[in-house]
Amino acid sequence: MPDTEMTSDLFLFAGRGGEKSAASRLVTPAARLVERIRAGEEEAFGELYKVFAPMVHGIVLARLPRDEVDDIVQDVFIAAYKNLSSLRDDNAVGGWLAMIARNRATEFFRQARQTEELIEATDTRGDSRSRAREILSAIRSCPEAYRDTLVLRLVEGMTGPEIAERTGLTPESVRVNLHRGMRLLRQKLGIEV
Amino acid sequence: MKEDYLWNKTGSDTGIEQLENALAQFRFNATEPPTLPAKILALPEKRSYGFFKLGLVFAVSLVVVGSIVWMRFTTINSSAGFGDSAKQSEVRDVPVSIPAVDSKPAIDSGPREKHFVRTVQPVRIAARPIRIVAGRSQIKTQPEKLTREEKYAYGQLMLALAITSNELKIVRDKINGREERNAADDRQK
Repeated sequence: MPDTEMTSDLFLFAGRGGEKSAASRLVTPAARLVERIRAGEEEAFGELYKVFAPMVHGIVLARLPRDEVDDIVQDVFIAAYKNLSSLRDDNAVGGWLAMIARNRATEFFRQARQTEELIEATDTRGDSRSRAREILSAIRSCPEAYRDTLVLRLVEGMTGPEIAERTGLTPESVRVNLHRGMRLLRQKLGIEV
Repeated sequence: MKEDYLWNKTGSDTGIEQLENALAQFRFNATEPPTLPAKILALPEKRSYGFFKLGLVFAVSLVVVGSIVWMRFTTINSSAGFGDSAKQSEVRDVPVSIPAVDSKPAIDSGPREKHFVRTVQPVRIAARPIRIVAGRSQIKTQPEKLTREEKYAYGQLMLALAITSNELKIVRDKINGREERNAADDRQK
């Protein structure tokens, strides 16, 4: 498998890559959900939430303390609903939601740094939780492209193809990020490859 | 194999499985979608401005065509005065006096012939009625209701129109005569 250069713009919307451009012309199930939401169907919004909430949750979790994640996820979807008219390509709703989630997390992080230091709530419940925090901390210290992909894979339990479909990345990009991200994570954790 | 498990969970990888088990506590728990405020439930529909643009173009073209037709119509009306007076116009007789035309005597002499002195006597042209040919766009005036000054001005205006009309008639006759001669020459050829 050829190694491709990791760039920060790998987390862009669908449309890059030959096979993806052909697929983007088709109306995906997510795009149909968006159409129904535009038509005023509240149920369609609930369905959209169920499909993309794990992805949004993972992206926010990769950046913010766990205690803040749930509220931010709700804010992301409300903001997405309010600004649905700005979505140009309904097929790219996943990447669009991912972008909103990252921006929201960044904005929250900036505001929080001005007022108080962001501290993960300490938990005295055994080693498993501390081990989990240590792994999550190691993932958060990775570059952004690896970070999101690792969280979606290891925390949210999504497969590589699912990550590509939900985030709008090409499968090749996701594969590279997973491979390199996992190698880096193992180095940080001191796990043999 | 290990990469397959990392990619699509095919096969097994102990290390990755341990990481997954440790991190599972942070996984998203399915919750209800956020409650949407009532005021933002009605989304503005994407308006299609296609028909509006089409209608606008049609209206503008209608105005342009109408303006052109109106301008042509008024141009035709204003130029239809002196040319077709015999068929379409209304004739009025107005008595006016035309001032006398003065001229000087001309003397002409040849070396061997008799001399004739030609003199041109001043001719006093008597007042005669002049046909005023009005076009379709007549000035609807009622002279009996005008003041004395207005009547005088009206008369002078009619006189000027009459003189101009006669001059144009002369020019037209000359042009027609020349055209007839040319046509006759062409036929002979």
